[in-house]
Amino acid sequence: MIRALRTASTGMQAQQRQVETIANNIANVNTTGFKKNRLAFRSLLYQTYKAPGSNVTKDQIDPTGLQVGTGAEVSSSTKAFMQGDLVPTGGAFDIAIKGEGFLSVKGPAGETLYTRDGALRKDAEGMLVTADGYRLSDQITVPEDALSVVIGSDGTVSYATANSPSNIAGQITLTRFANPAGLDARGDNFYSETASSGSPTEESAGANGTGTIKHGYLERSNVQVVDELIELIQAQRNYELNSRTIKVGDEMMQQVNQMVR
Amino acid sequence: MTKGLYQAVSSMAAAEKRLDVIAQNIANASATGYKRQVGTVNSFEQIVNGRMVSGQTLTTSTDHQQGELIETGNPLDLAFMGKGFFTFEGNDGNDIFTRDGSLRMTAEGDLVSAAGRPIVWDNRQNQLEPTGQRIEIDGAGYVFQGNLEIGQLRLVDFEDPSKLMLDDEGFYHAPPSMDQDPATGVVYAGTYEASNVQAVSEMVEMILAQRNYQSASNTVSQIAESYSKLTQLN
Repeated sequence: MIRALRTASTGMQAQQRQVETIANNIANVNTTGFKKNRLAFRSLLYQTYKAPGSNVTKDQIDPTGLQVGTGAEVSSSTKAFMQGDLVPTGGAFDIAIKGEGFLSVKGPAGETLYTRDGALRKDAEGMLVTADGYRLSDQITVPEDALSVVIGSDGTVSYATANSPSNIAGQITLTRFANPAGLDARGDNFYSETASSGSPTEESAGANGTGTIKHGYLERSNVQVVDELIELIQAQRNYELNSRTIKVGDEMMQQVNQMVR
Repeated sequence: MTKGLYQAVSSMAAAEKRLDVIAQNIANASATGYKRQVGTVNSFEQIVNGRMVSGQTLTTSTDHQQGELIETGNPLDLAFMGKGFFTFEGNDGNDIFTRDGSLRMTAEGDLVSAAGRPIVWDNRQNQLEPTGQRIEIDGAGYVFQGNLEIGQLRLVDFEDPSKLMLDDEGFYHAPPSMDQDPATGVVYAGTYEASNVQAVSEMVEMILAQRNYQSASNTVSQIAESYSKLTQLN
């Protein structure tokens, strides 16, 4: 009887994690370039009381056995890298990536981080930085006398000055991973490479499916509120069902206590 | 009279185990590719040492009905529609089977399960390039990277999958007598198979187990009462 109670509690813990994940997805519904998280669950150890195919008598074999599992756990959490909607913002340095690529930036400790959030701006030295102030790995400087800046679909950053209509400041390259779902989510919209994501491949925008750059747009989060609400309802019902198991187990134990008066 | 007592206790034990099985199903209602376990109560009558012994035991089997496919957008999430199993490498080097096709790629370009167990290939011509292009997997389990064919995953089926045995981690093991057939189901990449647990049927099972338990325990109380009357006779 204790087994059923513990099994149900592992199920409740798993559903609790699911609700936490959904809460995080919904909280980030307006986060630029946010990719939704998904949890995967798997069953815990199975205990074999009697193996299928064991002997009942000397020459009689039982075709079925008795195997009882001990619950469920979260097996993994992955990011779903489906494209988010692109919305026009008109921001002078806003870019969105239409495709699989990532922007590569230098993190505070000099490490390379990757992001889909293209809300860029200029820092004090005219370098293009993310909203957190991290510089792009491509190190692009837009001079102070630039009048207007255009970022092409291949990532070329050009600007006009009073004297010359077209100057090239540099090109924003995109980075691609063979298995983006394996990236490590570092928070603040940044990812870093892991053994399972594969190594980063740097390519110019538009090449080999990295995607093109849209200037003046931002990528919205790919969280669909309706989908999240459905998952929330399912998680809540599963939680209830598990607590129901505990109640029944408890009632059965109560029955035993009242058995002999 | 003692015979009845043992019989009632054995059916209480069976009902207890039955609740354990139901608890497992409900706890795994969200587990990828999970197949519900069915607990069946069997009565037995055996002659042991010249005396008839009867009672109830529980046996379990797996209900291999199709679960719903749900889209994830991750090209390495595989799910079967129809009959078939993904094959992974077991600890002893033997093939082990599962319906959970959530794969990951290692730094060496191998495809492994979420827990890091390597998948088994039928025909592998090329190695996946971790820095390479997007990986695509088709309905028959052929893996491509860009235009390069990497190989085919081993997708198998069994004539009677209910004879498969579950191991500690929820993988199926096939006894040596079972033949592997090629899978007839179709693989969908970018989806996962939800469990086939139905809340309603588990609730019904739970009520049945509880009522069986109650009636068996009432029997025990009745017999115990008769005993006390018997000892007060004289």
